[in-house]
Amino acid sequence: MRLKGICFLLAVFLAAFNLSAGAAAKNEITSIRWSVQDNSSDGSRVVRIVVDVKSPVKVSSAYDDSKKTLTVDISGALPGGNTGKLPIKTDKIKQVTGQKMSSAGSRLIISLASSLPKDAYKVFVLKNDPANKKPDRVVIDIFERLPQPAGASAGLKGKVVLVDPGHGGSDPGAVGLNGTKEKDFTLKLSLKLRDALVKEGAKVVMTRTRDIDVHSSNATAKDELQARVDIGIKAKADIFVSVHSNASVKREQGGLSTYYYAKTHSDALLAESVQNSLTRGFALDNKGVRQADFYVTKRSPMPAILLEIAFISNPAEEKLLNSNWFQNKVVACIVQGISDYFNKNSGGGEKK
Amino acid sequence: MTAGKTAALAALSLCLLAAGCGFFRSFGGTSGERAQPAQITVTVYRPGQIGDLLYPEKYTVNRKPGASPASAAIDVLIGEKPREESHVNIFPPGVRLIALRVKGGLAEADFNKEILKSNVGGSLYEMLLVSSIVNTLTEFSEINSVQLLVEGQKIDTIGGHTDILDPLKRNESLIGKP
Repeated sequence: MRLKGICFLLAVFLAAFNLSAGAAAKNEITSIRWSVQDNSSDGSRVVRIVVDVKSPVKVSSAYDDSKKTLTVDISGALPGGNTGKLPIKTDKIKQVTGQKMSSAGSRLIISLASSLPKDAYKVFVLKNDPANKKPDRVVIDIFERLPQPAGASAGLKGKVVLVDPGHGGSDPGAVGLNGTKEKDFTLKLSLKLRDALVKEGAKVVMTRTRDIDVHSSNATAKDELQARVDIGIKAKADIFVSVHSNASVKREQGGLSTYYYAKTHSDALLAESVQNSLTRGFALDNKGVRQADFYVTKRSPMPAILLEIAFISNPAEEKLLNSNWFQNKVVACIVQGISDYFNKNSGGGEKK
Repeated sequence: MTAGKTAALAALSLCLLAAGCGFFRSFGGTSGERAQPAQITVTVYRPGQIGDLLYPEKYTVNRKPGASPASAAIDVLIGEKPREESHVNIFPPGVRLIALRVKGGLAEADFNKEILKSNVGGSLYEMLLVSSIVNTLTEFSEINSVQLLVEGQKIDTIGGHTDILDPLKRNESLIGKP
């Protein structure tokens, strides 16, 4: 008898739940369409997912880089039949899953094959358009390739390259065991890099050509770094290249790495092009291309990289950093890498 | 019906009811606080032997009353010795987490100013220090990004390279394979 009573209670609970969900099921998703659009004028490719709904909805979205998922919540419309795995798949989109939310809403979980750079997606609602027989809808645009800056062309000729010798003046940067200062190495290498790029027809703008602070000797880190970023903006530089050498508490640590901040696809392409060229040229440890929140690469609006050329804290590499042939070869590799970048970024193949 | 069978059925029905109520409560969004376990397991990220990447380490620690698991993880990251001999605790002595607030996916982690003494020259350790905090905190599902503060203030950089003015995202490119 007691058991029957409990079961009855449970049934009442479940019925109440079903009724409340059923009462709200007026607005729902009627269909989900998708397409891939290539724009040949700016090289971009957009995956557009359009979610048609019966009446207006509110939409919110969140991107989680650690899980590489874009979650789109549509409040006010139930999923209709659009739950579970949805038949949307592109190079960029691994899977789209539809879910019913508890409060008369739907959720789309878009799993991506790779990270989405900032501003690489848009989620918005469009009002119904009776003239064109279009219902209320939610639009999700995901850039597979971001638009390239206008006028992207192959080769170094005519390109504006900002070269930033790291540190300087009151800031020595890291100091090697034999006294080599990072600021002196970065300046020597950057001046050589300038000359080599100019020889290839590029226009080079430097943040400093002497041992000075770019802003002032008692500036905050932000003012000093922003002063460097500002020079690149003022010069309308096509790319920003910051030259550094690395340091570690572990003396045996060595190698080459290139850092970027994923503002656009071009940042990664520039980093990969230069790192590949450097590691083809040297037998030093290839630490690879990495993302980091470095001020200058993050705040420079143009594609930007920060090169960490060998470790000043490693006595063998400190010696290398001071040798002319090493500096010359590094410069040749960077120039080649930048040239590769401009060729690839213009949509062309490798230049012979 | 034997006494044993009745007891078994009663137990089963109680389970069902408990499950039903739990479901209902979570549906309504008012799920009560569960009894907190005395011990929790946290994952922290530390530079490894090669020195240029971060590696996960798991710790099981006693839970302090009132402290969130996320702040416990930071206490472990700063205060505990690495589990692996070859891993490094890169925080200088005296660094302390003053407060950790989590709201809408954003964690505000406020450290005392001793954290500014952690610069060993060069960008690598500065970046690893920042990413060790961010990656440790974003292990928790409720944290998507981290705003670092020093003595309650936003600051530009710890050592002159890594921009910490804005909230930072998890950096998977710095995690090494164990």
